Amino acid sequence: MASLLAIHIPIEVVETKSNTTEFTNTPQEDAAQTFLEGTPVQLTAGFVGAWDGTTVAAGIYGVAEEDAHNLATPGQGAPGPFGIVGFPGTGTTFGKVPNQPDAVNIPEGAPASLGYIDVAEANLDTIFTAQTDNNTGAATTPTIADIGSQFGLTVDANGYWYVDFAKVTVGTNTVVVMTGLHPIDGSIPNARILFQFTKAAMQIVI
Amino acid sequence: MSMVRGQYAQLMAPGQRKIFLQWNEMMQRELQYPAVFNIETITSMYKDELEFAGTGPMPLKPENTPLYYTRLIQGGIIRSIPLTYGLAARSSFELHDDDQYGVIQQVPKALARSQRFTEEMVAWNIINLGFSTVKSIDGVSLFNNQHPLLGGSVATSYSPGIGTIISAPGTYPNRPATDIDLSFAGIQLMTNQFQGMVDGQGLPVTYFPKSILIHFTNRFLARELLGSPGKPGTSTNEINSLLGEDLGYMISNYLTAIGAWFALCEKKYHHLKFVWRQKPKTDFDDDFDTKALKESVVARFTAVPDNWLGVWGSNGP
Repeated sequence: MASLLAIHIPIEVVETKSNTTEFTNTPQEDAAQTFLEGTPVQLTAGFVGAWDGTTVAAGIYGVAEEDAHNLATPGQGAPGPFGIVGFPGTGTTFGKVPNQPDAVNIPEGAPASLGYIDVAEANLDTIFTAQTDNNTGAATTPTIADIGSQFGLTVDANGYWYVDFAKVTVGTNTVVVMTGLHPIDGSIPNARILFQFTKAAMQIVI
Repeated sequence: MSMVRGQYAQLMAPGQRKIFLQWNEMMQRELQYPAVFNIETITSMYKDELEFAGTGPMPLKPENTPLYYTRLIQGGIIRSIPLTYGLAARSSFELHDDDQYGVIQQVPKALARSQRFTEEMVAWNIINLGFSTVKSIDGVSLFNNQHPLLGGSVATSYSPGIGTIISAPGTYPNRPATDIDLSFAGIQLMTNQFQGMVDGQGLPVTYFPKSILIHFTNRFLARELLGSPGKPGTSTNEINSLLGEDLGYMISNYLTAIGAWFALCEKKYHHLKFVWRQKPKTDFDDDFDTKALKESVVARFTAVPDNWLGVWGSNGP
């Protein structure tokens, strides 16, 4: 069966080894980020942006748990000590306000933005799940024999990331290690798998 | 972080005649921000507020000519998002058990004081930061010499007598062009800016300042300026013309700049708001494995200046 789906299920946390809530953090979001929930992210000068897809050594801070907010400036609106969320409180506006160039129109229901992005940190405790695929188009069916193997991550045509079975050169293009089959998918084409980020790929090792 | 017996050796044996608990025995200040801020409660993640300007002056309709049609002007939106604040303490089972004076049992009261301080500071920082990062619905700083009016540059062209008040056509100030100290001249300037107030279309409106808000170190000066029967600081026989403005003053212990001073209309005429999402909520629980006691307080709130109308500020010189 041909592979390389056009769209994949977002990467998400499924469990932790310590049987507790996964460690999440809310670093400030970099400017002009439009990545989607489930995107691996990296810290650059303290601000979070989408992972560049190529930095495998200490390149991944975690996985975004929400869509990016397309902020005009890095960390726009992030409150300081005893502060409030800065104007305008969203990255989604439309049109112009007559005679008030700095005012904004906010569409009803526009996602609120605090200048932060919720991230499930890549660490030695948190186990994620993602769909498998192969950027060459080869069929991909994970098996129990793949547990313990390392793979890379690739973004699909719609901005979602998958575990790429074409990236298997350890230290060159791998960033995750498979820890198990998905309890529902098992060994089916493009099944989800359970994985952890490799220690080498973690930007902050805890 | 846990509190353990080794950190509190003096609590382990009886013999202390008195233990002075600062958080219980030092008198706590009354909350100050409720005297200034309008207080609201919301039940959603955020609230949005929208502004409209009305219609401009009515023009002449020459004989047998059609009416001039106009429209309302929709302004921008300001969004306020309550944030969560929380603090917790954890004490070991053994510390809780062996404390001879019940000090560790008083931890929740200390946490409550911490919560209260943050509540105050979040509110007052709307004013403290109102010259820079805190913005009003028009997208410029809360205290600004040139708030843009929705009616545009023509809005101030027909407003009678405000040419000396405004700094740029189509704008109105709630801050001096050059910041000025709390002084006789400064208060005069402030009251003039209130007196000349226009709406977004340039139609005169009434806003009377009720109180001057000052850093506590300026209270003596405020008494002289607002209480002297004669003109303050002069040896002449002029009356103190500020008395006719019927102004009072309020001090705040949470203003960060000594030189900054502010003027406020009555609460119902201005738009400084403190927004509750979740009132302080205390909680406690035992850790099953260690039997340590965890105590916490959590609250969700924010403050927001929905509009700049009815408030005025000068950041000193």
